[in-house]
Amino acid sequence: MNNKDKMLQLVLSDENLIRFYEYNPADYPTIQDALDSENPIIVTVAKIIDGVNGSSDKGTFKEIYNEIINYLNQNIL
Amino acid sequence: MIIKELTIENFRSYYGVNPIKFKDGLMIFIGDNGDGKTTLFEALEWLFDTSKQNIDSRLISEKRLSELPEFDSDTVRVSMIFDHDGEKIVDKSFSFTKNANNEIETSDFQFKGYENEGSQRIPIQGGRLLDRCFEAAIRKYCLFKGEENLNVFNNPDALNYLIETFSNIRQFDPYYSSDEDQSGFTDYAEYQSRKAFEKAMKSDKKNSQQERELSLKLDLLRRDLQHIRQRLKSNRTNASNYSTKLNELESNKEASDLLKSINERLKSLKEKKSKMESYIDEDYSIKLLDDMWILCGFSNIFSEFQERVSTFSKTKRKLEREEDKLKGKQELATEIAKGIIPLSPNIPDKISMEEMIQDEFCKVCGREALEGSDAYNFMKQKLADLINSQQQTEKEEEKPLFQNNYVKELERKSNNLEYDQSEINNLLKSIKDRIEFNNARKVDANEIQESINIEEDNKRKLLAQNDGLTEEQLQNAYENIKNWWDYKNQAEKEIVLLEKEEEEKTYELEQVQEQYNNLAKGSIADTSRKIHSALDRIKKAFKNAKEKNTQDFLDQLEKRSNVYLEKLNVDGFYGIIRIIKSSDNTARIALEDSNGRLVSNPNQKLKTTMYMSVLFAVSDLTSIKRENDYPLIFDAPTSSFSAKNEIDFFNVIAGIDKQCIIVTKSFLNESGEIDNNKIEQQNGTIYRMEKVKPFDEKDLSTIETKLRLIKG
Repeated sequence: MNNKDKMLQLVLSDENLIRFYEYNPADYPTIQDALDSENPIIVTVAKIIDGVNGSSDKGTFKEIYNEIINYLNQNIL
Repeated sequence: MIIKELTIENFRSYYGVNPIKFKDGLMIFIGDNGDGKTTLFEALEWLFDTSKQNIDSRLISEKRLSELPEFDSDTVRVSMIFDHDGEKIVDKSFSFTKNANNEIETSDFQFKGYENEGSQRIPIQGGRLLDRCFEAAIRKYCLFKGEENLNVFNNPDALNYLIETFSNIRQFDPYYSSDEDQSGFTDYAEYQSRKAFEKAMKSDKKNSQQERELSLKLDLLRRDLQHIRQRLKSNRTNASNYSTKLNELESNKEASDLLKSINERLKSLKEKKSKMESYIDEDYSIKLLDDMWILCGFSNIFSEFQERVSTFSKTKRKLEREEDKLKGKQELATEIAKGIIPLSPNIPDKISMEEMIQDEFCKVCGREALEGSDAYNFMKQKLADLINSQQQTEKEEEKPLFQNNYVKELERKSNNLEYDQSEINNLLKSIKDRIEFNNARKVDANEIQESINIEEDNKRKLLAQNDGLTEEQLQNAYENIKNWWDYKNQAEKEIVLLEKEEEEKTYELEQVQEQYNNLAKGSIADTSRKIHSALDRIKKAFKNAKEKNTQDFLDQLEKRSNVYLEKLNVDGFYGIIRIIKSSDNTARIALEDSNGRLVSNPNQKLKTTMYMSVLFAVSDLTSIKRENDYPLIFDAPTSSFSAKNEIDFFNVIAGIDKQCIIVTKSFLNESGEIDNNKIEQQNGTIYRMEKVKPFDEKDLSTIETKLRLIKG
């Protein structure tokens, strides 16, 4: 399990997030599993972890933000 | 990584080629001051430094330099064979040449590395190999110089660094940051999505009135909350700072008390010494004349002087007597020549004569002597002669036999200096007594000076052990204690109030935000609401994850540290290590008892074992993270330990499955010799390092360190 997968697990294990968006974190052991999810919140978390990739660059932030906003616009219910 | 062999060549006191075999487990290098302990440590530091090419000529062995012929060259080299997924070698060196005028030039820096692949030895740049096998992040927690540098959390960045390097999950900061500047992505995304949501709400004309009111409320609440959080942060920082200062003060209390008693002892010793020195009276040159000590050296001359004066005196008296005799004889001869020897003019006396004249009767011959008679006239004449004889007459000045009083003066001097041999002997005794007394006082003063030196040395050690605090700082620390307590208490009271206020405002904000969100439901801004809510919850999930990751790391570190603390303290109280995280993301190591009470001032031994336990725990985490083991290298980590504690302590370390290299001057007796009894009790591999004898204490070029294996 790499650093991103571990981070994903820890973020997805947040009780509030589980309660609101109803998922089982164990179903998403890797970033790829999360990206392939039907749950837009799972996918968003995975996109954030994967996209930011440890960078603090504001340009990257803007790019990822636009990507996830577009995604959520289309997928959030 | 396990070090298998180290070779030090012409590096400072390590003259020539010095190969040292290493073993796993505990390795102890014993040496006295100046024997090359720290140089061994520095040779390793130099080898492990992959950041720069240091070819400083001060690294070269002075002995090698001194014997190097002009225009000749040699090499400084430190190389290490180590095991890290197979045997590897790093070899760092540079050349030095002695030019004309004995100038030294250094050149040809080389940092080579080799690793084995099957039966082949593959060359690789040494720095790269070392960074791969023993990366800088790990090296930072492997080499420790001195007892006072063992606390890893003395560095305020240490917690972040350790979490980033050794925690379960790294690089959380780019995802979530508690800072106001939205330096984490989720902070940024939440803020941007909220702005987009608010914009969408404003464009919905249907609820514009309500939206404006709620939006205004939200803005005010957010501003208030921001203000509260800023004050909270500032108060937390203040409370933490004052708490740290007070803790330092507490931990320095013992040192401060010790310093006070050392200074009192020093004062009393210096007074005693000064008193002792005041008894010493060495004004011998004054006493030579004032107290006539000089006579001791001239006793024979003085006797001769006295004898001569006595002779002169006798001769003088003899001559005077003879002169008197001669004069007397002359006078008598004159009288005899006149026929009769007359009576003295004062017979009879004046009163009798006057009485006889008045009575006109001679009471000598018993006859009448009437006035005018011959007898009467004879008596009158006799009285006149008597009166005349009693009057001072101007005698003819006689030339004295001895015109000057030289002999008299000599006699007076002789009498004044009339010391006999017993007095001279007394004088000798008193001089001897005085010198002995002075010497005894000097011995006393020297003994006191030795005690002063010991106390001064203790003071230096004490100050060295207290994080570089000056004596003045240690003495004055208590002056601010009351203010610090007041500031800390004030900040803590504020924190309680502000936390309550923050909770209330947050709740209020959530309520208004819910109203605002409800307003959006079914409106054109509903999707924006959902997106913002999702990103807000994701941000909070990242925040919680980051905090949990930190806490997990600290729990793990604490748990492992306590295992080592128990091992390192075989007897006596040791407590429980707590690693406490502050709001400013720093951490401190504290000790608690089983009732959760803080042990405010552990003794130095407990403190050292506490810090070393944390280091062993960090090393464990390092090994787990990198799936490899790394050596821990300490230079004099136990200077405050008693001899017995050291042996116990080293034996415990010998039982730990870790390569631990310690350079120390323990196991030496007072004369600097190895204490074999202690060595017998000690497990592990032991090397003795010492200067090759003879050497000139003032000439660095005569110093050479040699190592010999004495155990293992």
